[in-house]
Amino acid sequence: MVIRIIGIGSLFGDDAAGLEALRMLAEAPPPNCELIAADRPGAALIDMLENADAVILVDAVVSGSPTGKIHELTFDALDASNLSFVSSHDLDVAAAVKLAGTLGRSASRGRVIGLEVAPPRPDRVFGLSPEIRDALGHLVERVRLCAAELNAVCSSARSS
Amino acid sequence: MPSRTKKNKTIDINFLPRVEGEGALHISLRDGQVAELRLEIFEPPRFFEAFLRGRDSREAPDLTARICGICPVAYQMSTVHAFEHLYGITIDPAVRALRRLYFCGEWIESHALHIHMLAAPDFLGCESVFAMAEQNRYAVERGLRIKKVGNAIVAALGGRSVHPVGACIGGFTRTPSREQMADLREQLLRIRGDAVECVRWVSGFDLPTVNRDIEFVSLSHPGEYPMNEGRIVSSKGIDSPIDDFDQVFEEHQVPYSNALHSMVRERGAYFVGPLARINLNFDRLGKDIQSLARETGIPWPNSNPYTSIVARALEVLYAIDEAVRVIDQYQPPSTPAVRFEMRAGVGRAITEAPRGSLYHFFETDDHGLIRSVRIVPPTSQNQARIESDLREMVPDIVQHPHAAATRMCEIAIRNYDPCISCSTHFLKLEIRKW
Repeated sequence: MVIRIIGIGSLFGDDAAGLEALRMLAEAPPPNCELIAADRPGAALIDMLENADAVILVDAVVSGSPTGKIHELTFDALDASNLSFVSSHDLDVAAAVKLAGTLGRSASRGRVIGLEVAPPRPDRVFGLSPEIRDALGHLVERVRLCAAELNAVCSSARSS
Repeated sequence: MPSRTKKNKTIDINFLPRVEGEGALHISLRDGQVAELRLEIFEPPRFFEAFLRGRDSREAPDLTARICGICPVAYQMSTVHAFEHLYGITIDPAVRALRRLYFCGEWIESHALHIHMLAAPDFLGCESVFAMAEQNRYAVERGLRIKKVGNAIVAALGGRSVHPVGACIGGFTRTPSREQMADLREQLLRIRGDAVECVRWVSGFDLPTVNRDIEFVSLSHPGEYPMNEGRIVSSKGIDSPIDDFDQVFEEHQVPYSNALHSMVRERGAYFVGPLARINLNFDRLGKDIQSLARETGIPWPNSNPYTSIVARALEVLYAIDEAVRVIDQYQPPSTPAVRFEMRAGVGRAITEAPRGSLYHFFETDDHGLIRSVRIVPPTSQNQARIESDLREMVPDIVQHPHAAATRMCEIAIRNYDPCISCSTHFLKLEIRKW
């Protein structure tokens, strides 16, 4: 059984939150989990969603909520959400997930765990802001809980 | 009160979907004639030309690569070439070949994205690539396969596929190993059949048939299909060195757009991009590609802007063949980058970004610090041409229901693969009519 956790982001400012969370998870990976750090994957994310029992995407998001808020939603709910992913050109996360689903290439169970970040600031190019650094522990904990839940769901589905 | 007569009408497309960046279109008709037509680019200015001033020239390639996430190689390389021109640097022939490979990677990934994700849905009557994927999963998968190889080439030479950092003034910070090159070669050969199929696929689309009086502009090189060297040529007789860019073209501001309009002096709008390159350099494509281009039944040169999608597909195939050629002849250079002395001067360069010619000008002081910069992107060069296209379409547009008219305008704009900024938006369309 494989649960793939994909940390998404770039090296810049709070956009690195997903990558940093993945680094923290790698110190003690959750059971049955494969970890991938994806620096602005664009369409390449489609390949990463394949051949797994479940996928968890961890990324910085902007929705107008307070900075540090953690969002969790299923892939199915992504389309209707007002989350905006901090992404470059190419396909953004929501578009890549949707296209992978349409092409039948996405894992059947998928979650997005987003950490609300403030819009980029020109005076903070490298390094996380103190608010986001403080929130990272909660984010990692939430990912671990989600991984445990998906482990249970996938095990039960396999045994039935 | 809004008029609903056919003669007085306004079409406002407040956001342009499936176009890079933020723009809008406003068309206003009075007594059946176009009273006003504005392609409004309201993406805020980003002041690259201002904040580059005072920087060390060696910093510039990594900074200008940030201008665009889809064509960072062209931005980086126009800067590199401009400084090499300024400092009188001669690069190793092996590095020059690697730079063509770098461009091949960018053309492959950018064109594959535009053909399959942005333009094909337009010509197949699909609302988006998602709708197209439901009808033709195979085509979307093929586009993703081709794009992935382009990204791999850019990552091999640039260190990463988004905002690469590998190129520098004088060469590259590192060069790829023979093993990396062999792996890229295998990947390229695997997608060649896909690229041929793609040419046949897009040339079978029911493209709008128009024949316009267009001045096509691109680089031209005596021995190769143009990517990063050559002279400026046009279908109406321009044949000038890159240094004469300002004698040939002029930029001017329009009140409704944050992008400058670019014109051929004393003549008007012009067209840059894959169709211009094919039209002006058809004989530099390989024989196989020329045969395939003729097989499509589309006459070349061609003055129907909508054949751009076929030109793009032909360039994907060219880029695959050219990349394999470079890899087959690859001899690692003795050093990735040559040393150089910085000095005061001016340097200019044009490279061919996927969506057209990209001009950079730099001036430095005695210490190599940047004193002034000018960057003329392909989208700003095409802006006046897009407006001319739309103006010519108006008599036909007004015969259609509003939704169809809007879609026709969007398709005409997207056909140029405009890159208004570094962000992709899937935006709602708002139409007002009176």
